[in-house]
Amino acid sequence: MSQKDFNPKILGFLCNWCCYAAADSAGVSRYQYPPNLRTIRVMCTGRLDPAFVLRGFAEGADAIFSGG
Amino acid sequence: MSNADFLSLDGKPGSFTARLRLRPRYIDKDKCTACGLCTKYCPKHLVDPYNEGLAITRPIHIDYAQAVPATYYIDPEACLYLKHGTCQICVSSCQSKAIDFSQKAEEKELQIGAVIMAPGFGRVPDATLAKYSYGQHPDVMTSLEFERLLCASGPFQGEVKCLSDRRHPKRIAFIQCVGSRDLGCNNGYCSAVCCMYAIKEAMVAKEHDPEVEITIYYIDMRTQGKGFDAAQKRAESMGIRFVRARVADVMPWGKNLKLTYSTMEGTHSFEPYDIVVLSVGLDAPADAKNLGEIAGFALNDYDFCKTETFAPLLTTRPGVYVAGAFQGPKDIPESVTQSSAAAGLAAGLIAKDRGKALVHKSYPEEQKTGQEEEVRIGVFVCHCGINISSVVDVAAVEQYTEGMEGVVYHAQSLYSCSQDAQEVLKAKIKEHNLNRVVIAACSPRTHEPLFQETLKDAGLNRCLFEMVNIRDHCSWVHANEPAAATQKSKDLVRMGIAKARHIKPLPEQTVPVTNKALVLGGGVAGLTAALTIADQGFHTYVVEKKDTLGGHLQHLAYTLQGDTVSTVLDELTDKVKNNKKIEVLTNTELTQVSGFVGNFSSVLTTRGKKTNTETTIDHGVIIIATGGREHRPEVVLGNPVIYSETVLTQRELEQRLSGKGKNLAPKSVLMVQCAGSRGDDLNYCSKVCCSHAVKNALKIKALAPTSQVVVLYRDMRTYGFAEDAYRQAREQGVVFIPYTMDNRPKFKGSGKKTSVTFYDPILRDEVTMTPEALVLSVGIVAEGTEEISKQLKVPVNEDKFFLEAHVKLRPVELAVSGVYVCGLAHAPKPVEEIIVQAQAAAAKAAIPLCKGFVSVEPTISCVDKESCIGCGLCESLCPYQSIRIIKDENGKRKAETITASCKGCGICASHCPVFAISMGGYTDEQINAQITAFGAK
Amino acid sequence: MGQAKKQAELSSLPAQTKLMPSGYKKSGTVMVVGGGIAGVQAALDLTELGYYVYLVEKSAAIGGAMAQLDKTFPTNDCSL
Repeated sequence: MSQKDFNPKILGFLCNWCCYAAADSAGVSRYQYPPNLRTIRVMCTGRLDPAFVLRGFAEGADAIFSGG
Repeated sequence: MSNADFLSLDGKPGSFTARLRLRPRYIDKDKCTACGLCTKYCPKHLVDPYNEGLAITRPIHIDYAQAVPATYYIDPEACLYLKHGTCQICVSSCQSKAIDFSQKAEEKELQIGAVIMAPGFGRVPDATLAKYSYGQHPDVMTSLEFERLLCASGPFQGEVKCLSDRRHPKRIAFIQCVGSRDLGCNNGYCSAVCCMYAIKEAMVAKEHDPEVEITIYYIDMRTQGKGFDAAQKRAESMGIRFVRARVADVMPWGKNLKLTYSTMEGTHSFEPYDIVVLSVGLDAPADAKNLGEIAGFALNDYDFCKTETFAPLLTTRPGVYVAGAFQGPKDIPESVTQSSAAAGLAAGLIAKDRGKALVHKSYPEEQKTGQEEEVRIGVFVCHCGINISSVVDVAAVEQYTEGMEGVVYHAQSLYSCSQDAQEVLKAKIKEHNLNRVVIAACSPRTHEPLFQETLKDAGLNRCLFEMVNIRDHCSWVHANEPAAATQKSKDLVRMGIAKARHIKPLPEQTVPVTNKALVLGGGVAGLTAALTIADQGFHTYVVEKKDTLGGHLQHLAYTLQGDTVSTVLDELTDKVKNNKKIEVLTNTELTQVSGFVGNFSSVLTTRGKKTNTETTIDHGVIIIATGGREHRPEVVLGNPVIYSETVLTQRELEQRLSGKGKNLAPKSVLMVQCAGSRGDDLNYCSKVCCSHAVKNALKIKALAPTSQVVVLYRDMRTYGFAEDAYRQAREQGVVFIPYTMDNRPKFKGSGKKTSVTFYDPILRDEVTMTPEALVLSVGIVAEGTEEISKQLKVPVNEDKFFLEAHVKLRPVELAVSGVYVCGLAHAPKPVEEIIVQAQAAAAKAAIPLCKGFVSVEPTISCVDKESCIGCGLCESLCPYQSIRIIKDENGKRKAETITASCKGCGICASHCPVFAISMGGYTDEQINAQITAFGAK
Repeated sequence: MGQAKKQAELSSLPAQTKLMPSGYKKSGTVMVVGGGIAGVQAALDLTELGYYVYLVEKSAAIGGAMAQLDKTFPTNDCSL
C-alpha cells in the first residue's frame, strides 16, 4: 500500500438506507478497509447540496465520497 | 413476572383463571442498583449456568450484565444462609439495603382471556453424549458451551481455548445430529437448527483464528432456510471442511482426542482433534409433561406440544396457544413469526376486550429547549463489551471531548444499550442538565430508537440526540490498525458533537389510520391472513387474480401428516366467503397504489367478460400473499428435459396418485431431488421438495408395496418432525442414494425410454435404471414479485422473493411501513409455515389498525413560507409526491410538505434555489458544521 | 442487537408487564408462559395490539436461550 506516501482525507456522505446500511454490514462481516474515510449520515444522497462538496474540499478533503 | 411457576389453569376461553407461585429473589427489586458488590463479597462458589458451567459465579448474582429485570437474586439452593443459617455477609455489604431474607414465596391468581405457551426447549440428556467422551474429557463440549467460549462475555472473554490446559486449539471437529435423528434417545426428529449454528460457530471460530482447521461431520446438511445455503458456501470458501460421515466415537488420545468415523463407502478412519463440539439437538422442555397436565393440552410422541398441520399454533385446549420451540424445534425467525401469529390469534379470541386493560405510558413533560438556551452536551463512549474497546482506545476518545465547545459531561460505558446504562443516562441528563446527547457506539440504524426512548423518559425531545458509529464503521473494520481507528473515532465524535451543537427539538406528529386491510392473493396465505384480521374486527379486501380461491393448495391432495387437503381448503374458503368483514374480489389485480402507512389508496382492476371495471379503495395496510409457482426447468443437472407422462414433477405425480382407478402407482419410480435447485438453475433450496418426495414415496408404497422407489438426493432435508416420515420411507424399502454436483445423474433418451445413470456409493459403481416414472423434485419460484416491488417500492432479494425488514426479528414486515409479506412470496416453505406466517403478518398489520394512528418520524422536510418563491422545482423532483404547491391566503404559490408520506430524503432541500426548505435533523447548518469539524484538527 | 432493544422496549412498558398494585385486570388480558424470544415477542405484539400481558418466566431473568448466544446465523449479527 502507498499509505506511507499518501494518506488522503476522504469525506463521505452516506445514504441511511443503502450505503450507510452497507457500511454497517461491512462492519458486521468484519471487512477491513483503509481508515481514511470520515462519514456524514444523510437520509438520502438527494440531500447532497453541491455546496457541501465544495465546502468539503475547502476544509481540506482530498476526495469526497457520495454513497447512495 | 420472573422467578414464577405456573401452577394451574381453570376456566374457558375468554375467562381463564391461572395460579402462579412467585418465588422470592431475597432482594428488593426497587432498592437493588445492580452494582454487583454483593457478588464480590459472597464467599460461596456456584457454577455459572449462564456460561454453561464454564465459569464460576456466586449464589447471589445476576445471570448476565444485560439481564432484565436488572435485579440480583439469591439461589436458595446454594446460599449459606438459606441452607445452613450462617453467613449473611451480603446483607452488610449492600449499600442500598436491598437484601431481604424474610421474603416468602407467594401465590397469585390471574384472570386472563387467553394463554400463550412459549416455554422453549430442553436439553439432550448427558447420557446420550457419553459415547463421545462428553463428561470424561473437558475438550469434548456441547455447542452451547462452545458458543459461550466464542462470546466476549464468556469464560475467556471470547478467546477459544481448550478447557483441559488452556492451549489454543489447532483442530476442531463438529459432530452433527447429536441427540437428534436418533431413536436411541427417543429423539427421532431433526432439530432443524444445528446445521446452521454449527456453520455459524465454525465461521466465528475461524474469524477468531484463521489458522484453525475445522471439520463438520454430518449426515445431511440441512440449510434449507432463506439464504442459508449461501452461508454454507461462504463457510466452505473460508476453508471449513464438510464430511458426510457417521461418527462412531471420540476417545482421549494423549493430549488430543481421537475421532473415529465411517463414510458412506463404508471406510473407517480416525483423526486427531483438540476440541470436539457436539451439535446437540433441541429436546422437549424438561417440564413439558407437567405443563401439559397443568394447562390441559396434549403432547406429541416426543413431548412437544401436539398441533395440527392446518392449525399449527392451537393446542388441544381451546384458548391456549403455543409458540416457539415447544411447538417443534425451530430457529429464531420462525419462533418470532409464531409468536406474532399466536399473539394475533389470542387477540382475535378476545377482540371485544381490546384496550380494556391497557395502561398508557406517560412521559414527563418535555423540557423546553429554546435557541437562546445554552448548549449542554453529554458525550457517552461505549466499549460494547470488547467489540469497540479491543481496537479503539475508548478512554482516549472520551478524554478527547474534554473542553470541546458545549460539552459539559463525558463518560464511558461497558454496554451503553443495556438497561442499567439507560438509567445512568437518564440520571446524568438530570444531574448535568444536559440538553444534547451524543453516544459514540454502534449504528443509529439499530439503536437510535432505544436511546431516543430514554431521552423521552428523561424529559428531552428525542431529536436532541446524535449517534456516532465507532463500532460498525470503525473498530470492526479497522481491527488491525488500532491507532488509526482511535483517530477516526475521535474525528467522528468531533463531527458528531459539531452537529449536536446545532440540533433542535422537532415536534412529534401522528396521522390517522383507515382501519381496513388489503390482502393481495387468495391462496392459503392470503385467506388465513384475511381471517385473522377480520377476527380482530377489521374490514379486509382479498384480491385474487385468478377466478378461484385457494391458490396452490388446489393442486395438492394430501399432506405428509395425512390430512385431506380439499376438505380443509373448502372449510377455509367457506369461512372467508361467509365472513361479513371480508370482501373477496376474484379476477382482480392491483393496478395502482398511492399513499403511505395508514392511508393507502389503491386502484383494483377486475376483468369482466367484456370490459374491465376499476374500483378505488382506501385502506391502512397491505399484506402481500401473492405466492409463487412451480419451477419447470428445461435442463436438470445438465440433462435436457421434456416433460411427459413418464417424466414429471412431484406435483404431477401427486395428482396421479390421488386420482381414481386402479394401478395408480408406477411399478418403478426414480425421484431426483434438487432438480433445478441449489445452484443447478435456481440458486436456493425450496425447502419443501424433500418432504414432498417422501410423501409421494410413502403414498406409492401404500398403494403398491412392491413398487421400487429410488430417491437420488444431495441432502435429505426432512427437518423437524418430517424426519419420522423419512425414516418410515427407508423402513418401507424406499432407497435413498446421494449424489454430488461433481458426479451428477445422467439422463438418456426421452419419454418411456428415459434411463438414468448414477453412482451408487455403496456398490461403488455406476448404476443405470429405466424407471416407469422419472419424477423431478423441482423448486418454487416467485411470481409477479418484481411488479409489486416497483408498485410499492419494497425490495426483493436476488432470487426475486421479498426481502423482510429484519431477517431475525422482523420476519414478516417489509422496509416500507404498513406493508407485510407472507407465504411463498417471502420464500418457499411448507403449508404449516405459510399458515403461521400469514397469521403473523395479519397480527403485525392489525397493530396500526388497532391503534388508529401512526407516528411520523420528525426528520422530514419543512418549508419556510416566507422565503419560498413558489417555483415548483421541489414538487417536480419529489420521488414520493410528498411536497406540493398550494396558494397561500394572499394567492401566492407556496410549497407545502405532505407530512405523512415524506420520507425525509432531502432532494427538495438540496435543490431549493432559495434555501427555503430545511430537513429536520439534517439542516444545512448541521451538515455544514459537520463538514467544518471534519476539516478542523 | 435486537434483543437488548427488545428487552429495553419491554422494560420500558413496565406498567403492562408487571402486576398492578391496585389489583387484577379482569378482561383484555393474556398470560404468556415463557420469557424467551418467543414469549417476549408475543408479549410485545399483544401489548401493541391493545392487551395487558402477564409474562411468566420461571428463571430470574427473561431472554431465554437467545441471551446465551454470541452471534446469529446466517448474518452473524450480535444476538444480544
